[in-house]
Amino acid sequence: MTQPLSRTGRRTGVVLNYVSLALLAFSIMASEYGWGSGWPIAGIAVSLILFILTFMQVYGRTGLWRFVHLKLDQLDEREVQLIHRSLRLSYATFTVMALLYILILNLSFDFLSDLRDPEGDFTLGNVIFIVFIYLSHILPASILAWSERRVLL
Amino acid sequence: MESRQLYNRIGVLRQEMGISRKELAAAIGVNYQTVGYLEREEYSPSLDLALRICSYFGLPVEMVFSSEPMPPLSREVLDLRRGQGT
Repeated sequence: MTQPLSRTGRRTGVVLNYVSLALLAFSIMASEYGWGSGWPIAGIAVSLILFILTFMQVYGRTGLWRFVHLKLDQLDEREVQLIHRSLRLSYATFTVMALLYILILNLSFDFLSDLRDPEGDFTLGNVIFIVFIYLSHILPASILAWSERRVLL
Repeated sequence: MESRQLYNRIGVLRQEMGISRKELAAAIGVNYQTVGYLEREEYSPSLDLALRICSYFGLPVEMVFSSEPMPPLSREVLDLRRGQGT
């Protein structure tokens, strides 16, 4: 029988998952825009392994990924309340993240010039687009992993 | 709005009937973890769920739920007997 992860273990896993996601995205962009030689490939490999491992541990093994994607009629009233709270917080967090990203883009740092199209406008880019799609799906599960004393198995 | 703490005897009644949390959960239509939350009084059920629980145990609502900490059932039975003079 598998032992459930403690809350501290889940929180560590959530942080590591986000750190590995950020490293993965940065390494892919570094490789794409030629920001370095050699290290982006190693960065992609290491961060991808860490990302998959932490995802499996925190969201797969605990059943949180499956739980937040269940249909409403498969949940009881306490679980509906739990999902509602996590979705509400996720919506607010996602909005803040998206606005911060737009703000950073508009600060016009030199190293961000690679993210501009030939007309000088910022583009979202495939990597960031995928990161935002992932975040929109994983944030509710992250909030439950972070805040709940007991998780489903 | 902060909801009021509700006390209950679900754990005692379940153990008295000799059934598991999973069996009770299946009978009242919730996840077995929700039964744990109810027993620990960490979750206050809706009126619908409370009535389903009472109906399952065959007891009136005031015997299962209260807004005040509930005395042990043995104490309540004793008080009842004393009141009847038996």
